[in-house]
Amino acid sequence: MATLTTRQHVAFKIEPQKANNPDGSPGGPATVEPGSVVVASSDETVITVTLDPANELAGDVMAVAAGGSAARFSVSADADMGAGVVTITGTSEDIDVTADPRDAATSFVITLGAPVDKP
Amino acid sequence: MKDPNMADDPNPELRAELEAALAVLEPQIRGLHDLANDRISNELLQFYNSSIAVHERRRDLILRELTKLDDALSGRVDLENDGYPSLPTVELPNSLFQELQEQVRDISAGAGVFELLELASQLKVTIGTPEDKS
Repeated sequence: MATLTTRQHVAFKIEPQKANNPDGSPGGPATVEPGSVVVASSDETVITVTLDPANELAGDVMAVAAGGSAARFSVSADADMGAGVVTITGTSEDIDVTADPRDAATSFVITLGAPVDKP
Repeated sequence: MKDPNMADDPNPELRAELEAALAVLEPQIRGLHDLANDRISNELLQFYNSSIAVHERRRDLILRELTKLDDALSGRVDLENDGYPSLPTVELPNSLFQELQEQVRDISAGAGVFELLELASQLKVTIGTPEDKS
């Protein structure tokens, strides 16, 4: 699980991969149809997700507010490099957003107003 | 005796059925014409002529089907005379055969440049190190 405070954001990368080899080892790198990558947050009150306009295989997760439960984001893309569409997906690890301690109160500032006569 | 080189009728059962129907129709048609040639009332003649038309139409349709069977048989004979079903191999002089072999090797070499593109089947997501918002 990843953790962000309410003052943080984090970059991520997406790696399209071929199917695992018969021995279970990861398949090699693969490509997806350019322009087909889509990301979506599971809870935009906790995190928002955007893709890098210059590189759709990278993006940024922005913490919004501390949520009761972790959020995550999903990614999808078209694996068919031709006219057809073969949609593949992936999901991030859970992301927990906590209140940033720098926003916690540490003291009080007391300000007195102008004196007035007693009634 | 049937010529062993002669093609078989493609549908002997249908031919026999049509010829049998024709054997019934033709005397009926002749008889109806004979009846129509006698001195009879116009009213009865109309019935005879109507029946002649029906029987002759049926006869013509049967003859048309028999003609199609004859055409199919003729086509079969032509095929067999052409050597059907086998096709002859073409023998090349040695120099041309060598040229063909070289061409086949070049085509195989050219095709060997390509391999099947394996599609991506999953997307792996990796999150980096958190940083303060700007």
